[in-house]
Parts: sequence; structure tokens; C-alpha cells
Amino acid sequence: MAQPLPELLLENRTAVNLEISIGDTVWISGLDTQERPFVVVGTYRRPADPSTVTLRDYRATFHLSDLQELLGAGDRVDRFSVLLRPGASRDAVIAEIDRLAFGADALATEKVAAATSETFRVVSRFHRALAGITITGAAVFLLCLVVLKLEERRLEGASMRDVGISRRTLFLWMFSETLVMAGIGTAIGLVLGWVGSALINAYFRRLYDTSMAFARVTEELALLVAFIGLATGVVVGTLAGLGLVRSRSSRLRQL
Amino acid sequence: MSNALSLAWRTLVRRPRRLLLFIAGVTVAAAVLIDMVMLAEGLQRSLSDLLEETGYQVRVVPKGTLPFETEAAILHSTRVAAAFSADPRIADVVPLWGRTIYASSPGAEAVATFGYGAPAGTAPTLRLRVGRTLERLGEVVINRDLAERFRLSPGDSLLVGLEPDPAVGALRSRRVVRVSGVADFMFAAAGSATLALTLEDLWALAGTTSEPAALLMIRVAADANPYAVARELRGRDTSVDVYAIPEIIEAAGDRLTYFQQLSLVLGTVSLGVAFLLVTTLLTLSVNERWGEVAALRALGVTRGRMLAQVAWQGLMISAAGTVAGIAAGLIIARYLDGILTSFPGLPVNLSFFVLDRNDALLAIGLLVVTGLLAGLYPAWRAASVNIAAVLREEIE
Amino acid sequence: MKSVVAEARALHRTYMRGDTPVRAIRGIDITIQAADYVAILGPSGCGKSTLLNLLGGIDIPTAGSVRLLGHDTRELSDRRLTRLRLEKVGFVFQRFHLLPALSAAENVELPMAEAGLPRPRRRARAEDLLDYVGLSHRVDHRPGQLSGGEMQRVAIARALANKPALILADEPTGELDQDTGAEIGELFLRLNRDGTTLVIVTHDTSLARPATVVHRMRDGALQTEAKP
Ligand SMILES: Nc1ncnc2c1ncn2[C@@H]1O[C@H](COP(=O)(O)OP(=O)(O)OP(=O)(O)O)[C@@H](O)[C@H]1O
Ligand SMILES: [Mg+2]
Repeated sequence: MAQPLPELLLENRTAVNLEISIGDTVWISGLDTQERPFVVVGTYRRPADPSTVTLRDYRATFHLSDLQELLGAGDRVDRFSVLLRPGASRDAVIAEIDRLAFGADALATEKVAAATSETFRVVSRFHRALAGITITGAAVFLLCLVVLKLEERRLEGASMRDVGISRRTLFLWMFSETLVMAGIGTAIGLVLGWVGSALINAYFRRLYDTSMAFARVTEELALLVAFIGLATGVVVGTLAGLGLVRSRSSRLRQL
Repeated sequence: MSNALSLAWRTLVRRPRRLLLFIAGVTVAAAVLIDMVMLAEGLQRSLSDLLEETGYQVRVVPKGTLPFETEAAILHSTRVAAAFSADPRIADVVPLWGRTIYASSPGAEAVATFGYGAPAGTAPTLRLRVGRTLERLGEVVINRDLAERFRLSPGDSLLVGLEPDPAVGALRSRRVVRVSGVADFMFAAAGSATLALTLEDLWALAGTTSEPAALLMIRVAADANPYAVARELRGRDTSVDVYAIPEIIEAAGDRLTYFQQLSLVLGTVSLGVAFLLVTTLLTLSVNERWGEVAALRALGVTRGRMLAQVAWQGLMISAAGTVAGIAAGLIIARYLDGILTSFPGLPVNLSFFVLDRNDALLAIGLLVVTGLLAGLYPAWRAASVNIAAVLREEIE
Repeated sequence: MKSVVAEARALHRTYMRGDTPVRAIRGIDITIQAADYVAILGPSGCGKSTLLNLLGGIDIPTAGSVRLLGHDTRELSDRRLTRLRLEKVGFVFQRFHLLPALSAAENVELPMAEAGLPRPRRRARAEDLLDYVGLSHRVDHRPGQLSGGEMQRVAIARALANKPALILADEPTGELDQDTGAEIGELFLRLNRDGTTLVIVTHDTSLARPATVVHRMRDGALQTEAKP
């Protein structure tokens, strides 16, 4: 009786691209080994790993011994995952492995994660820099609008002063209006950001066939944005309010 | 026209602080636009330049991959290369292979390096700094990281091998090679140890007899068209992908969609902001000057000249913002490029922000047109003022 | 025989205020002859400004016609009409309407520049005109640095810039105190003596007194009284 074929799992995108379905037999060879048949027993989604999401390579998962045979690699592996007994000191184990195992590096999980997430730290630094630029732009924009409003208001403000309306009221008038403007802008911005992130996620999920989220408006982020928006509003509003109060009526008349 | 122009100028500078504030706004918008234009195609351009620099215009890779993206290989590459070379339109074919190998020097611990294999006498992806390129078996060209790490210069020897074997306590299938030169590897990750051996040495080291190549680089004859050659080779062998340089850039394109989309969105927003700034400022300025506008029309300034006068103001603001924005944009681009080029695994000479002349002109054109369009509505309002009615209102 | 500078025949101008027509000018005939000094008096809202605007080609009649230097204003394109105003008509407004960004001389130069006069010649003429209105010491001042009377003098110099056949002034002393107004009145009189045709709408009797023709208006119609 013929031996059953060795099994493999095929990554989804690969299966779709190569038009292979479960139950099919595929022939695979290593660099210096003969082609041999495998039966596809299942498919899987590639892990939602941002560092490989853009890659278009084909992927399959084998039993370790099958892969070693296929590669003619003898009994070699790329890495071991080591699960410690409860209570064992991780640092001591790492030091021991480094001492004993020639050519091997023992790394704590966070270190591995840190190394692979460097890309994303770069991306996030880039995004933060862009955010800085946009915030500057937005602040200048708000300032421009407020300066115009202020100039429009000056005459009105002066006549209000003449009929006995206090500086405080004038200040609050301009200040609260600016703040409301900033508030509305921030709210619209948040909604746009939320819609935008949904669109971005939909687009890239389709493009890369993954379940990963590419953009997310988290609660903290929304709060941060609200804070920056309102803080800008407070600063610019104070400037505008002072601008309105400070202008003397005689000077106002000339405008 | 000069009268409209000088009037436009004089009107603008009457409120210098306000003007500067708005120009600052347009500057930020213009800077972002310039940066986004640089970013949209920057990496592709920079990569394309790097690929062109090798002097080889066509790449042959295993089907479904990009050069060195996976460990997939074209087997029996010598034979394949020879077959290609027979074509009179092909001047040269260079197979390249690569894999992780280990290097060590007496008394130092072995380090993992990326080892390239190229036929002796060729080194299309190297920029030699000292010494000479690979000329015979047993030679190695190393990059500067490796040279510094082991303090090596041409003539020194280096131990190379496969992964360390714990059972033996030494590198597997190790051998001693002689450093013939130190070079920059155009496509190797910045800051990582890299070396090049002859293909034969690398194959022997890896213990393979199937002559694998990750990539064949093809130089076409002077009078041949790389696209046509690539197209024909593609038809000849369906187990490989064949790309002319622009085609490979395009194939790598969906890795870069992110930057293109980001540029498109931010670029559009910045143009919108510039438009709003110019329109608001000019509309307000026309509203303030209603009486002046009506008086000018009464005195004999034609509708066209009135229109031109306000439109000029829009152009001036956007032009000033554009000039300042280009300067600011170039500075910001350098800063942002500094961030992005610290991506791990990226070749040294890549840039994400590349200013192409046509794109720069496009950005300038867009900004100028935006300024013009933004000025159009207020200009039209000024031109179609009802003279008598405004003069009357002014008195009341 | 004097030549006719402007004439209106069976002139009507009706504004629409919402759905109600406002008949500001109701059938006026008037002739302005060269070297005339015409004063138009009348209560507020009787249509004086409207008439002046129609005569100067700023506004177009609803019915009837205005012939300005031989051209029917209804038949000219806006461009030609604007050109006609530029070259043949000078306006003086109650609120001066100088360009605050320009100096006195530049304000006077403006219509000449618009008419295409080369720079050195318009500068020289602007200085002459400012001298004529008594402002040779204020050539490079901005309107903001001038008094009301001085601003109006600049405005008069500007109105004279292109040697117009006709100057129209709508309450030119309305914003000025009495003494300053009187000085402006003297300037107008000098202008007229030097041969300029003037039509002045005013409440100011000191401006009306030297006029050669005085028209009284009421409800959009003229009640002319010829002076001896
Ligand atoms: N653009 C307009 N729309 C509607 N009605 C107008 C318009 N211009 C003038 N009127 C009306 O036409 C009439 C005449 O106005 P006009 O300005 O000519 O009077 P006036 O004699 O110059 O008054 P004043 O001495 O106050 O300047 C008034 O009843 C005025 O309300
Ligand atoms: Mg009036």
C-alpha cells in the first residue's frame, strides 16, 4: 500500500494566486533536491504582521521534518522558542544558552519584538513629524481667519464699548467665538479622520488581503486631537480677544 | 497692465502684517505640496536611478518574485545566461546569487553577513572604494562595516563559512578567502555586514551543484530597446519574470501605494487650504475696499482691469507663498527623508523625497493656478460692482 | 454759440426696491453747455445723485436718453463708456475716495496711467495739478496724512487729470466744515473761470451762488431758474 503523501498548509493568497484548493497535490523541490508531492490539507491567512504585509511572496507551512528533507538541511532549524518553567530566571537561562550553544544567540521576546518593530517606530516618527507640520499649518490658518474676523469686528466692538459694554464681555465674545470655531473644526476633523481611517483600512485590507488595521482613531488619539485643537483655539482666541479689547475706539474709527 | 499690477501690489502691502500672515499660511500649504510631490514618486525615482547606475537595463527573476525578495532561484544559471548571451541584442548577462553566510577573523566572534555571489570580473552592484574587484576564486570584496569590524584592508584574509555548527564548535564548511577590495554595496541594507564572493565560491560554500541565481542582470546592446528585449525574453521562458527597469519599479509599486496615497491626500488638502486662504483674504480685501473699487470704476478703470487687479493680488500671494514654500519644503523634505531613510534594511543611497524638475514645475503650476482661481471670484465681484449703488451706500 | 457737453432728453430712472418701483427721475430734460457752472439743489432723496450719475455715464437711464459728448450712453458698451468717463469726465465724490495706498501725486496720476500716458509726463502733470489746487507741498503725502479739505483738493486734481470736458461733483463739501468748504468753493470757481465745465450737486449755498445755471429739483423733476 502506498504511503500517504506528506501534508502542507498553503497561505491563502498563494492558494488563490496559484489556483490551488484543499485536497490538491502540489510538487515542490528544494535547491538541490528532487521534486516531491505534497497534499494541501488546509489554507491559512498569513499572520497580520505589518513587516511582511506588503510582500507578495508565496508561502506554505510544512512539518519540520518534511521541510528539512526538502531543503537537504539535515537536522537544522533557524530558531528555537524556549518556554521557561515557572520561577526560572530568564536572564540566567539566556546567559547559560549564550555560554553553551556555539553560534546561537538567545534573545528575550521583547528584544525580538523591538527589532522587528523598528520599521513601525520609523513610520510613527514620520507621522508625528507630518502631524507637527499640519498642526502648524492649521494654527496659522486659524490665526488668519481670526485676524480677518477681528478686523471685521473692530468697528462693531468700538461702538459696543461706547454704549457701555465692558471689556470683559468684548473679550469673551471674541474668545468664545474663536474657541467655538476651533471646536467645530476639531469635531469635523475628528469625524473626517474617523471616516478617513475607515476608508484607509478598507482599501489596504483589500489590497494586502489582511485583517490588519492600518489607521485607527483610538480614544487617546481622539482626546489628544481634541486637546490640541482646543488648546490652539484657546491660544488664538486669547490673542484675538485681547486684540479686540486693546484697540482704542479712536483707532477703530479709522479702520 | 503695469498699472493694475502696481495697484495690486500697493493694495496688498497696505496691510503688511496681515499679508505676511496669509503668505505664511500659503507657505505652509506650498511646502506640504512640494514635499508630497517629492514623496509621491521619490522612492521610485531614487530606486530607478540606483538600478540605472548598474548599467544593466533588464532583470530576470524567478516567477512571482522581485530581486532578492525571497530565496527563490533560477537554477542552472550559467546555462540560462549563456542561452541569453547568444542573442545579438544582449551585450552581457550577469547572474547574481546571495545567501546568509558567516564571516570571522582569528580571535573574533563570527558575524552573520549577507553574501553576494557574482561572476569573477563583474561587480555591477558594487561601488569600489579601495582595492579591486573580484578577479579570481578565493577572493572576497567586503563592505565598510565588515572592514571596520575586523579591521581589514585589501590583502588581508578572512574566514567565511555557513552557520556555526554547535557540534563542532566552528563554522560549517568554512574556508579562508583574501580581501581584494572594500566597496559600498548599492542594494545592501545600510549598516549591515555584507560581502561578495565569486559565484563559484559561493555555490561551493553552500554545497549546491544546481548553480542557483537569484537574479540575472542583462545589459542590452547599444542599439537595442530594453523593453523589446524584456518582452521577448518573457515570451521565451515562462518560469521567470523579465523586467526592464521602469517595469520593475512598477511591479514594486504596490509596496509604495501608501506614499502615493498619502501624498495625494495631503497634497490635495494643502492646495485646498491655499485656495481658501487666498479667496478669504481677497474677498475680505474687496469688501473693505468697496468704495474704492466703485470710485475706480467711475473714474474710468474698465471691468477687465479691475478684474486683473484683484487677480494679480491672488497671484502675488500664491507666488510669494510658493517661493517661500519651496524653500521651506526642501528643508522639511530633508528632515522627513532623514526619518524615513532610517527604515531598517534600506540601501544607503535611497531617498524618499526626490525633486524632479517636471514635478516641481507641476507643483508650482498647481499653486499658481490655485492662486489664480482663488482670486477669480473676488475679482469677478470687484469687476461687476454696481458703481452708483455702492457710491450711494458709502455715503450712508 | 456754445457747444453742448451733455444733454438729457425725457430722462427716466426707476429703481426696483423689491417689487415696488421707485421713480427717482421722472422726465427730465437738461442741457449742459461748455464752460457752464451748473448747480443742482434740492431736498434729500429728490434724485440729484441719480441725475448726476446718469449724466456722467455711471448709470444708464430706464427711459429717455443721455448724450455725453455726442454719444448716447445706452448705446455704448461698458468698455467704451468706461473709456469715455476716463478721458472726458472727472468725478469728485463727497467721500473723496482717494486710494489710501497711494501718495497724493500717485492718486492724481492714476487716471493718466490708466489712459496710457507715459510716466514722466504724468508725474509732471500731477505736480502741476497739485500746484494748481494749492498742494505743491503735499505731493508725496498719503491721504491718511491729509486733512479733509486737502483730500478733496487732491480729488479735484485727480478729476482734472485727463483734461476732462466735464466735471461732476456730488456734494463735494458735504464732509467739510464751512471754512474749508468755502475754500473748495473758491477752487471750483477758479476752475470754471479757467474754462472747466462743472455740474455740482450741493446743499451748500456758497457753492451754488457763483453758478451760471441753478436747477432746483423736486421728486425727480427739474424746476429750472436761469440766472441773469
Ligand atoms: N440703488 C437704488 N435702489 C433703490 N432706490 C434707490 C437707489 N438709489 C437711489 N434710490 C432712491 O431714489 C431716490 C433718489 O435718490 P438719490 O440718491 O438720487 O437722491 P439725492 O437727491 O441724491 O439724495 P441726497 O441729497 O440724500 O443725497 C431716493 O428715493 C432713493 O431712495
Ligand atoms: Mg445724493
